[in-house]
Amino acid sequence: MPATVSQRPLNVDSRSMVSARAVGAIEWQAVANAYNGLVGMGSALIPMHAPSISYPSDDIATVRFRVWPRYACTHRLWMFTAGGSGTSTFTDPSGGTVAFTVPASGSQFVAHVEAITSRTGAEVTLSPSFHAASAGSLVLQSFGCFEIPRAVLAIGGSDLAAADCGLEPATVRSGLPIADDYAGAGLGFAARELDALRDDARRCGLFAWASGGDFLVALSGSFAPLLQTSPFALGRMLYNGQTTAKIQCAAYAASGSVGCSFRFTATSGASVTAVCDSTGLARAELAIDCEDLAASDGRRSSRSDAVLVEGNGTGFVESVTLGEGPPSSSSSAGIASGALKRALPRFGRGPLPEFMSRKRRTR
Amino acid sequence: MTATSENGYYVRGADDEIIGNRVLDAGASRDIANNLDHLEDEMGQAWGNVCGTLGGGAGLTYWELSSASTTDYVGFSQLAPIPVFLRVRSADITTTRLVVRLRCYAASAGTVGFYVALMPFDPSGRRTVAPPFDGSSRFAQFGTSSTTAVEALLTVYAGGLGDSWMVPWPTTDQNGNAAEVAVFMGQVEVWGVTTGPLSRIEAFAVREFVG
Repeated sequence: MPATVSQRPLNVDSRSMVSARAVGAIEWQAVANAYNGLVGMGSALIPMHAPSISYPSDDIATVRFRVWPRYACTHRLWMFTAGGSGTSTFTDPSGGTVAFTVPASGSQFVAHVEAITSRTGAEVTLSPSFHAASAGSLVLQSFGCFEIPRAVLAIGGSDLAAADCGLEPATVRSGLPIADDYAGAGLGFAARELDALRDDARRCGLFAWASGGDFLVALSGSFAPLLQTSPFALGRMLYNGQTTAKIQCAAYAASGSVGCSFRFTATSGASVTAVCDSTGLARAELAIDCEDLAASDGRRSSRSDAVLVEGNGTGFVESVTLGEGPPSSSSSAGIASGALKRALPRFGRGPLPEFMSRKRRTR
Repeated sequence: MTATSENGYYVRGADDEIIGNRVLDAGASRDIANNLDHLEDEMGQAWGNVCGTLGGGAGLTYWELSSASTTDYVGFSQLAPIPVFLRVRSADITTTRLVVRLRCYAASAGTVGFYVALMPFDPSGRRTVAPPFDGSSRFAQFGTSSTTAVEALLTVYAGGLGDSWMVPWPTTDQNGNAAEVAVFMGQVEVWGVTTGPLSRIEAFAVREFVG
């Protein structure tokens, strides 16, 4: 039985899990369903934004975005609204293409599905490209990329950054023992994967923006804002008492740029500066507000935390991205590794946790 | 301690031992369930985050109402809708909540009104006729007469998601073969009306809040 990803995940109701009452298989069915749903639900990899991009006729240009994808994604949905005129072509990072024509009315919406040829759960640079109409022009009015949800996950695996790690629901069915000893089976598997899922079920993209062609945004010799306002950003709250989340900040300086750096400053106070490497990539980690679950809109301190993005150097900015990355991108959420493990039992062979005692039923 | 027997296997509570397996107590079970539920709450995505550019030649700086001095709701030029994958929390609850942030500016002291609409995803492109504002939870409205940029937070709910919200997309099954997934998709649109000179939006962001 495959690990189906439900688009209507069952409520995981823990109220029936009380002492002196057996935890039934029906509760575990909901847990297995929720686990698979979280792994395969998709994400906003590059949030929709208004790029500053205009390509003259027959121009071929690539835009580099530094992103933090999830391995479970097998297909990405690229969406954009194009202005200009004539027939242009979009090429996704896996080489798939779509041609589109901007009508006389002035804009054309395009939704293109990319079949990913090289899946990864690690930080990576995606480089979609455009070929502007040979007798026309291309202006990008909006642009973004979503990771399409999965229908079914492959069973098993142990690393969410390298395998589907689906949990087979049949292994938590009524009448079966509580399994633990093999991958993809039983609530023991779900318990072991919780830490990894905490790092994987994240807000991959918080903000993205790019400039190119005739609309390339220039950098000056001192730090200056690139955008008219600071983009809104809010991280996940994962444990009691947490008030900040660590996010990843990345920016590319366009080819030919020299001595460039970018500074990211949160309204909540933190600031970090990153210098571009030989490829033009600048990377840094920044602390921002995390969600306040007591607030009706999730904002902490009744104000939107935002990230001021500034650039410095000789050249132009190609792209800026903010997002929650996997552990290899430095700590994605700042949660102590043992925090989620503290109350989990230890399954399989080995000593019991202290709070559990071994008693034999007297007859 | 009561044990439940199901086909010869016993699911026991704390302080008892399952032959061949370890005991899973209710406290630990609750922790696992609550952790998963909380992770789902916190996976609210940032579906769109639109900011105007400073300079850059003739690049986009902000988005103006396409006509001035009009009492009809018209779309903002060059501000495309933001598509969203909608999530439902359970089979019985068909709502999702989106928090929309708008930073707006009125060109004069005249009243400017905006409304945000959550509509089913439309792959044919941006509409030219505003969806009628019906006061339902899928619409959020506010106005400003300030010539200083103001920020509004609007909460939009998607209630009663039906077949019109389902969109099929290619994906992969457990064996890596082509499959299809049907997902709920919507799009968030901004419409405005002004009784005075042109007014504009400087930022537009949509994120999902489950909480």
